[in-house]
Amino acid sequence: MKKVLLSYCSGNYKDSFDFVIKSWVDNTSFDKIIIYTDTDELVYDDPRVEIIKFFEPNSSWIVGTGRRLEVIKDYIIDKNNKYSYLCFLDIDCYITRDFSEVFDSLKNCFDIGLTRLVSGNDHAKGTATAGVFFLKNNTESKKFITDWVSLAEKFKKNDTMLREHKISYVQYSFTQIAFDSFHNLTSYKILNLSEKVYNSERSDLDEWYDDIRRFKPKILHFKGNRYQNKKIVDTVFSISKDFEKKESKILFENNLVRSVIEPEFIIDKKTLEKTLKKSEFLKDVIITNLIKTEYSQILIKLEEMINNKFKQINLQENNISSDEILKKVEEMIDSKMLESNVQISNERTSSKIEGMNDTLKSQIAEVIDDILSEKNEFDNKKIFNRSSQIFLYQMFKEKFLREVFPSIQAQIIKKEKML
Amino acid sequence: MISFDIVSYCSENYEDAYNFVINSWVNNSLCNSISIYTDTDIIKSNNPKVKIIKIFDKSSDWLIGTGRRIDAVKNFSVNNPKCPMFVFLDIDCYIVKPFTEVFQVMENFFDVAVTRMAGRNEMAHGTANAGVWMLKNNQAGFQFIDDWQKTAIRYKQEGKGIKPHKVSFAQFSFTKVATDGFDGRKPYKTLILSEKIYNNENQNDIKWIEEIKKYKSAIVHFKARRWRQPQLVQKVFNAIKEYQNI
Repeated sequence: MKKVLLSYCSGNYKDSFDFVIKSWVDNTSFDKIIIYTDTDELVYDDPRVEIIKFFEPNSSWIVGTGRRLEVIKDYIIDKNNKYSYLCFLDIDCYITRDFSEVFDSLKNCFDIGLTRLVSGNDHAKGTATAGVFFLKNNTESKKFITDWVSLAEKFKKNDTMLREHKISYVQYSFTQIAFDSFHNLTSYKILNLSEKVYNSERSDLDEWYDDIRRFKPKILHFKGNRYQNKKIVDTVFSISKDFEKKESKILFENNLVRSVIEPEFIIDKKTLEKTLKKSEFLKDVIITNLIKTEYSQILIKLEEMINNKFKQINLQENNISSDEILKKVEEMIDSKMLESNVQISNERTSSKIEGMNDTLKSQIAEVIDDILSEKNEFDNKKIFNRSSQIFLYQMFKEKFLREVFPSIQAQIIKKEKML
Repeated sequence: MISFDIVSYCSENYEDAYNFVINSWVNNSLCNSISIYTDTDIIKSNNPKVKIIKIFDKSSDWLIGTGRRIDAVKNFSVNNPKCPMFVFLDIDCYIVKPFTEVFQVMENFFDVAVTRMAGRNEMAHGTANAGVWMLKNNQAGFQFIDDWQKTAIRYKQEGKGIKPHKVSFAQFSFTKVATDGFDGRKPYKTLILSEKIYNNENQNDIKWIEEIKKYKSAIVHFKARRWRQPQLVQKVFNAIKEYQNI
């Protein structure tokens, strides 16, 4: 599966190229990064980066914005290059993290992915952005491009949207085609993506910083030459420097949790390796399928326990409230978990642990104290094993309280009503 | 073949809306079953596909009714773990043709599908529509409902969306959680659908009918008791006929 990143950079935007190119190379998994240009001055020493001088020098903004379309047309339609997926980015887009999940979302049902169609962002005047979009290589996406080119030419011919540094005819034509597609008036299918994540931009700087903090964007759009302002760049980088760490932790936990609670969800090996590799906090923890098995068994036990409990308790006679029953069930789960003989194996270390027969809570407390106070005395394996146990226990507990209890509560209320 | 259910809430004072839409739901949707949550005994069905579930006390209060849809879907999700996906429809939504393509898209990647987030409908105050949406009935989907319920309770307590017949707390909170899913801040992934196709509604009757024809809508939303206007209903049905069985 060949993935290509495509862009256009005129000579007067060389500083922007210098600003973003390392992020494109380092933070993505594109096989090729292709930059069309009008200058000989763009240079980057990496085999994935290919600079194609295609135009005569020209620093006009309106010419530049139109050339984006020529670049896309040349690469996709005229040269009919081979690729599976393509991403087009404006040259002022800085990539903080890999975003290949976008291509997964396009895979089965969509031809084009784009942002800002749903933002209601005032400065965008209702337009989707033509500066960040994603394509699957198929007939439909090519039709999208040819429709876009011909509508843009029509707008240009009619002198529509040709003002410097305003929303251009390229943008308006892109939006019109995208809206038609969104409402099923075309054969190609559009997927709306979050601009907060894949095209972070804001006119107001404080609002932009706030967005970056909240949404942890993967693509930062340094519009209006903001990449030239050191203060802005420093602020943005200081906000975004820990994204990857936070992201991998969240990704790992989400994947792990989903694999546990959704029987049909399986983490593919590559994702698992990637998340494990990236997660400092949990890098040596757990083979998820085993947790899944354990969890299913406990769920079955839990269901049995609840059913038995309801058989034993006559709610009316004993006048027990649902809160009290819930508390009892919680206590039972707690004690069941303490009793459970959890076995964990890890393929990477081939180690097998049997444990948790004793009072788990005190054992865990002891281990935590040990790790904190005399970490060095533990060999790595032991720390790993015990950390796994702690993690496993905490995860089960958390999941029960957060995910299973609401439905238990609903069942209790229902049964109470029935009685 | 994709299997999905329809879930709805209908209070007693909307019985005529139920009677107006139910055949379209049974005949035109390809759904597996239909669960109508209600507060009355007067809503009936002889169709084995349609289950009438009375779990609420009688109330004609709009604010109470709008919040009950959350309780209804939560109840449905808890009690139907084998149902893989469902669509929630307001009781004034008429189904013109199947929309199983939405579930096919969701099956691969998304947990919840919503309309009107791209609509820029001024009357909607930027809200997505809590009256037509689809959900994968998995853990992520359940979390969506749970988050929605918690946010709705908070908004109601704060007095946000409690004016009768305006955008409600249930709608505002729905928009919040759907947007969070869209922006990657939650485990559930939100897909944004065209409201022209899956939730066609318009304040202006003439534009409404024009758009129904233009976009060949699969779900037509008879807002503001429009199903009680026989002439308008006939005009809509004439528009639908042009594309319904093509």
